[in-house]
Amino acid sequence: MVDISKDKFEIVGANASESQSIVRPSISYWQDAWRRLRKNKVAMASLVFLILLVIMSIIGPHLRPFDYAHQDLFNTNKPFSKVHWFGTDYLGRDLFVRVWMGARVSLFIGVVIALLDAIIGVTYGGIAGYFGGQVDNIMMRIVDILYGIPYLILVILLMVVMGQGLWTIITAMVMTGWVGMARIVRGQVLQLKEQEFVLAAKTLGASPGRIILRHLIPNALGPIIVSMTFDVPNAIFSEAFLSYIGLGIRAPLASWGTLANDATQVLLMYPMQLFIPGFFISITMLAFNMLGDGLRDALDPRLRR
Amino acid sequence: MKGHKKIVIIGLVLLMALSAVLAGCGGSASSSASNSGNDKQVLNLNLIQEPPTLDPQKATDVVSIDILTEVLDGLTRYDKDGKIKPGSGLAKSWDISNDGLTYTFHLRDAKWSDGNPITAQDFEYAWKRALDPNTASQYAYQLFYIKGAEEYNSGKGSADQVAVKALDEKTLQVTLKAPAPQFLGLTSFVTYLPLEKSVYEKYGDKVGTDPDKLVYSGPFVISQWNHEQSITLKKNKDYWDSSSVKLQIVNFSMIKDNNTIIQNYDNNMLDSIFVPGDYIDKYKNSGEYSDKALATTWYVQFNTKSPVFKNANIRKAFALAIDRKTFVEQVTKDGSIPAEAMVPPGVPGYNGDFRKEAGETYFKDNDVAQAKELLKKGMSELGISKLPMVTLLGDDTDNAKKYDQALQQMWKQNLGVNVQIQNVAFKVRLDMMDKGNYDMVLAGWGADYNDPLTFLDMWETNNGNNTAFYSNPEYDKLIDEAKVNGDLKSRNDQLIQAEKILMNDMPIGPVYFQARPFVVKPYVKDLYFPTFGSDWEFKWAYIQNN
Amino acid sequence: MLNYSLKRFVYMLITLWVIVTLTFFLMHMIPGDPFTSEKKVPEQIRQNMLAKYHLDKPLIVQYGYYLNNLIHGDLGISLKYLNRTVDDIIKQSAPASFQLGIQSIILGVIFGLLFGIIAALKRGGGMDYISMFLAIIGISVPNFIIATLLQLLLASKLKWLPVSGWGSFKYTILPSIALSFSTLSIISRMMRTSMLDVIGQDYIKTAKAKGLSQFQIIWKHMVRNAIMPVVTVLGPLFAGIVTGTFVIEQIFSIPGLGKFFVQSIYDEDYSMILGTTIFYSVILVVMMFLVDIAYGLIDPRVRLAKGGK
Repeated sequence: MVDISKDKFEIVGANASESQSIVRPSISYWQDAWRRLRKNKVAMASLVFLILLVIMSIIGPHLRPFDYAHQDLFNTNKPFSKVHWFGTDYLGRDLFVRVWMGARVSLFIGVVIALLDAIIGVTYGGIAGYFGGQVDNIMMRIVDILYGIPYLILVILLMVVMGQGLWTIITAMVMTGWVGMARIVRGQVLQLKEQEFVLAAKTLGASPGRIILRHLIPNALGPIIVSMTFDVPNAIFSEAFLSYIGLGIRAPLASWGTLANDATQVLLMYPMQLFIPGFFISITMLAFNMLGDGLRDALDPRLRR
Repeated sequence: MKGHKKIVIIGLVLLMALSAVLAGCGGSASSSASNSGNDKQVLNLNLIQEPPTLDPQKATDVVSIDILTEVLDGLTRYDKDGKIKPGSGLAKSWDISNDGLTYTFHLRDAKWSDGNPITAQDFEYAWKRALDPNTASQYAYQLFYIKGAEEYNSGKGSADQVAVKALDEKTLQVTLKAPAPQFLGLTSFVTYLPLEKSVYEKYGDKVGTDPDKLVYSGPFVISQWNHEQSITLKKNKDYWDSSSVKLQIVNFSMIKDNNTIIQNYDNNMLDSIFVPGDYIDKYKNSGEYSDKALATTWYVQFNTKSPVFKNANIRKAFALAIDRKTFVEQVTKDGSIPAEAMVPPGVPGYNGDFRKEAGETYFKDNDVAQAKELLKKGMSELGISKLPMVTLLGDDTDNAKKYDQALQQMWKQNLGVNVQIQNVAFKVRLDMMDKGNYDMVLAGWGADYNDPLTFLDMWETNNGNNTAFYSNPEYDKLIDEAKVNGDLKSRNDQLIQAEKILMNDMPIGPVYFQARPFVVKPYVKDLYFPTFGSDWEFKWAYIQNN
Repeated sequence: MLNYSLKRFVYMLITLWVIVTLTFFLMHMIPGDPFTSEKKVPEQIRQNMLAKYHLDKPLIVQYGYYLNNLIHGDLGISLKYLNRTVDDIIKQSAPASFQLGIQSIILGVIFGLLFGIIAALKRGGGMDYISMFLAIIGISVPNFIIATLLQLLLASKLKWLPVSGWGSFKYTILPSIALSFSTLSIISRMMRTSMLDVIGQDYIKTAKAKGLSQFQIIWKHMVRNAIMPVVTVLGPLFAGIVTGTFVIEQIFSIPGLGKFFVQSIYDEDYSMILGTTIFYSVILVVMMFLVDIAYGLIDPRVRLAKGGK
């Protein structure tokens, strides 16, 4: 035993400013995420691609001298040509112009729905999972009920009440769309809240809101982002379905979903009509997925360096 | 990150390969020679969906009628040439009284499939059953021509007061409340088809839910019924005319998806199909293709109570601005013909075709100049300088969506009018029409029976089907008179006069007389496609190997 | 646990009752009724029909009738397929849907988990991209297109399998595969992401340090901790798939239950709407319960019965 005398120690005192200072330069969570995202080439390429897609949806319809609604009934179902780059549809409308008009609708709906579903679902699921017990039980039974009531009935009624329009579609989809997200977040939170860092935060007196937002949600980001990237194509196709039964966009406006739907009717004869919207939907999905992957990594607090 | 690029490229190549395979099969119609076993007398058809009920008095839809008319015989049956002749059904002959009110049918000796004789009492019982309010038959009104029928059905009379009576086992007497030249044809209609009295008594409301809860009198019997999947018919050995029936087996599938139907036909799993939508182009030049007229008129129906279309000139402007020729040739493509009148060709008039007797057309197709003038005139009559946005009501059926968009474009091009399309679920559309909650709608009307009256009496002021809310006392008077007119010549003149008034007021703008395209394999012979009633008549059909 | 289960059972009944009640009143708000048809029927005949099926009574009385019948296990008769009971139709149609659903779930789960796990372990490798590509195809190409393509290639062109219909096992192969795609993609993506979350955790390092075998680490530590989100999505997914998928059943002409969920609403076949809704909801709430139980079994830290505080 080495004898350690008291005078070898000196009381420094609690220096509030110093204890808070961090070795690394102070950057916020979001700055750090952005920095890490930028380093991810695949994710950045996807981001650039998506931005290009948005630009094309704005200028695309003006690249050809056709109106998206103009019919040429004597030139229906034509293949690719110099005049009609993507051919024409069953009413002789130029598909190149329609694809880019469709991109406006589909991208807008896809992104808005995914965001709204995520906001509502994460909040709802986070609260249910964190408080647990009776709160959780009742909140989740409400989710069960929403799952159980036939969606089509809600949609038809909504159509009668609200009429046709973009926001009617969005309402119809968000109405039940968020419940999937809510269940995933709640499942994750149930698991995460028993972990030590939550206990630590609680002990330090953090409010439930802060714990959910700053501790639980960031740790559940993986499944949340995957679920969001799946929401985008789901929304694109639900829109096609809703347009099909009359709730969606008004003809002659097009969306990728309705273009794909129309083409399926003649799949065996004019497969290219399905191939084009199908290709754009798939490649957009690929971009969203890879961007989502990058985002997940960038936002993951455990990977923070 | 080459990997990602590779994946994209692989994906592209895969998709391309798939679409190349698809493209390869696009143009070619099935060319495979009719193969093995075609001397087997088996016919394969597609019913598209499950028949909702095989209770003849409750059936209302074409799928149920398709089956029932092949397993049950009525007093009459339409012949190969679409005519009603004595002896074509269970009635070997009939007498009609001079006032055209009393029909006496003489039944032939024929047996039910259980061996019992078919009697006049079976008919009397079946018809009264259809009228019984407790049966709640939707098509009970098809029997309202009979004296006392409507009263019994609405609870104001009794079964005994219905003027249908079995005089003896083989004689049936019917008295109508007014002369109806279409009555003979109607006795072949599904609601008039009887089952054996004892079967009704035994199974009650369960009649026709399964093959063993039916008894048969037609060319075929049901040998198997897998709900939602298939129905198999087999030749009825006890049929009175069984020597004319060559087919041994008829298989019905219930395939709804268009692409699946096409593939089944191309793979010889189906011997004849109705060609869906745009696949017409695929078969049009194949030699297997044909189309049948449907006795159905499609028209743009205007809501005559709407602020814009209460004006007749605006209605006419919209009707004249439609390019019907282009519409049927480039949009429907199905062999439909342009309609410039309400009653379709093929419906009998006094001596021949009503359409010929009344004149082929009432207005010129695609008359843009006239249309523009009428629109201007109509707008000044309404005191407006700009047409408010009008809506074309549509529904969720495939064709409706396509046709509505074509019309929308024609109005825009020819009249410079912007029309918006509103699609709703089918039943919601019907409800909106009932309530007058629309501007205009593309609607169709198929014949209930083979007479011009079925296309004209619906536009009477108080007719439930008059959802245009059209009302013209002169028109009502002509129709009311024609309904009870025993003199067929002047009756016909009244109907012609009525159609002329209708086409002058234009609560509807006719667009096309519908045809239904179909393909038949070359080894199928004598398969008939009646103008109305059922989809096919295969009593005489047979398979011949070439 | 028993106490918790009992309590949940009561909640299930309440949930079902609320679903039935809401559906009942909502469906009656849709314009039209089962007997709305293109050709109008004389008013008296309409009244006869409404009276026969008790639709002429006030809504609340009809609701009372329905609940009373329901308690006695009677789902009523279909208003479209006159004379057939809802019970019969469900009994006849459910087996086909159930068989397809189970087969496709098995396919989807096995391959989904496999792809997901391998993709996560070999992150950035070939398998990762192949599984991502499959997942993207599965989710961005809707199943009706996949179904039609499979049908065209394997049945119509190559003639390996029947184009459509129902009968022996060979009829189930194409629809099961077509149906499994979306399950496969969701599960493989979910599994990959949550596996990646887990791989970075300290206890995996600990396990490695302890010298556990690779297999044990993956199975006992990684999969077990990563499978929660998969279990979560599997609940409603299962209930949805085994009760039938309209589009797939239509494409392959399968006599399943899927079409009734859609068709009954278009037909406004009230008893059929309620029948299918109840059938689906029962499976759904039971699945949700099982999922919650599974949470506790997979991860003992999860306690449902007690509150978080």
